[in-house]
Amino acid sequence: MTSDVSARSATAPSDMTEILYESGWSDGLPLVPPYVERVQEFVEASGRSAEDSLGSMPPNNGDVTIEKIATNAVMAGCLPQHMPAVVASVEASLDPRFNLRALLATTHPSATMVMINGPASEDLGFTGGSSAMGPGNRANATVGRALQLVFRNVGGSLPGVTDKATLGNPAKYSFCFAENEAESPWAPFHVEQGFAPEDNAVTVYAAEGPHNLTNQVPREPMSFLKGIASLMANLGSNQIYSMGDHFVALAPEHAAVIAAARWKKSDIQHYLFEHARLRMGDVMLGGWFGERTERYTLWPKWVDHTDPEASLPVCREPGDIKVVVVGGPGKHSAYLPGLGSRCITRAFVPAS
Amino acid sequence: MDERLSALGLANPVADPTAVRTRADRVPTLSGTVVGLLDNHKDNADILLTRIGEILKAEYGVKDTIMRQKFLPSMVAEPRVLDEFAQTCDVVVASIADCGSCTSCLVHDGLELEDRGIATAALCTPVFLNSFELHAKYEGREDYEPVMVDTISTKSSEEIADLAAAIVPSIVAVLTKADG
Repeated sequence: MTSDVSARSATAPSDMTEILYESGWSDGLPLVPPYVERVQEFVEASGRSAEDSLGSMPPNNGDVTIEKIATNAVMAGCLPQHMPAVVASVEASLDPRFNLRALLATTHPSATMVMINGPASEDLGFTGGSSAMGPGNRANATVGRALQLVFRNVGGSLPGVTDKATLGNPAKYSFCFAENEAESPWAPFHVEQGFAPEDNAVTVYAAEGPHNLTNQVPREPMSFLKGIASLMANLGSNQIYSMGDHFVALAPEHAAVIAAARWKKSDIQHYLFEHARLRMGDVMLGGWFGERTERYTLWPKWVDHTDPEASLPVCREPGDIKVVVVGGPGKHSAYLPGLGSRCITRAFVPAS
Repeated sequence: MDERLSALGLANPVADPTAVRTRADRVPTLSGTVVGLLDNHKDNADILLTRIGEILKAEYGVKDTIMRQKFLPSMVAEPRVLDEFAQTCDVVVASIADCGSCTSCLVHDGLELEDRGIATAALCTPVFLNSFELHAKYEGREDYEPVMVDTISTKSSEEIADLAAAIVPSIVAVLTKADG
């Protein structure tokens, strides 16, 4: 790559903004110019060589090199120190169990949620506190955006053409937050997945977005979790059909009530698995196949598909319900419906 | 990348497609052949394929049909299913590209079968034609044309049977037309 410094300096910032829009690289928001020198800084911060490849990305089978990831991370507004997390997010999304091919093409509105865990999270600028899933934090905003730009520019995901989302989702601009490990009564999510507490990790999940659960009077786990279960079991859910993982984000104040009753994460998962149920007769009204219940081949075999009074779970086992602690003060938790694929966690090593 | 962009010292964030695919030979005639039917699990795809198979046997001399089902329309077919088709069938009909993820996966499945030497007619609804075409181009098979059919998810069995009768000639043409 060569650069012409005089041509660059003669280009007004406003002109550069328009040039970058015209390039076709943008998600609709302004881009930071990916000057080759800046991209090189990002490559170095990744600890890997520019040509290193993570494989090919659907749908266009583009070669996912560190240099391509770095270029998109620069455009997203990341800092060099964010590169290891961005690279790990891309790597996680390429796991076949995540089903990126479907996620990038589906009419369903799911986006890629990224959650950060580990001791470096705060130093890197991520937040899991107040408004963690909202605006106002550079690391959260730009790392989530970098992943989406990689999908567009490396994977060839184009809204309206290969990305056929009927409505789309604002989370497709960016959706990244940290787990609030400091206020969680339980082990961090990545530790539950088998990583060490001193590891840093990203988790990706094909999420619709946070559906709020208001409970201003949480007194004990069951009455509170019944509300979460009611959000999980609804007749519009994609997961009636596709099952897969579910994601529950508990506010610290809600988590504290549950933990005070000496409930473990596995207790929460079992409760939700038992109570987030749909009546088979209601499912027959809609879903994907209505009364043709023989077509729902992903449902557990132990559920009688022909009995209108049978109780249908929204996933195949309690462990499919992922529970984390996120957010600041307040009594609002969230259920995040999904596409029906799997959460994937990958470790990363912060730049030295 | 546009020369103007590289002259400004900008790195290129775009990766080019890398897939290399081969076009399977078409069969001279469907008479005496075994036809694979790939049900991608989309609404009523099984009903449409069953009727297509009946017509191919009754009117085109097809010896037998073999139907296999994917777990989900939004997942690519398991390699063992594709391998079985390649070992037991002369051609395949795949139904149906009628959503975003299933279009991406059906194009992929069809081209995997073509790579295995099995001519494959993939069915697609008009709304998803632009997606089908770009996916085929990304896969290195810009020439891969679908057989067009109206959406079937909310149609009755009788309506689907009519659609099957209407598109069978196009399916036969895709599977038998001369190479090149």
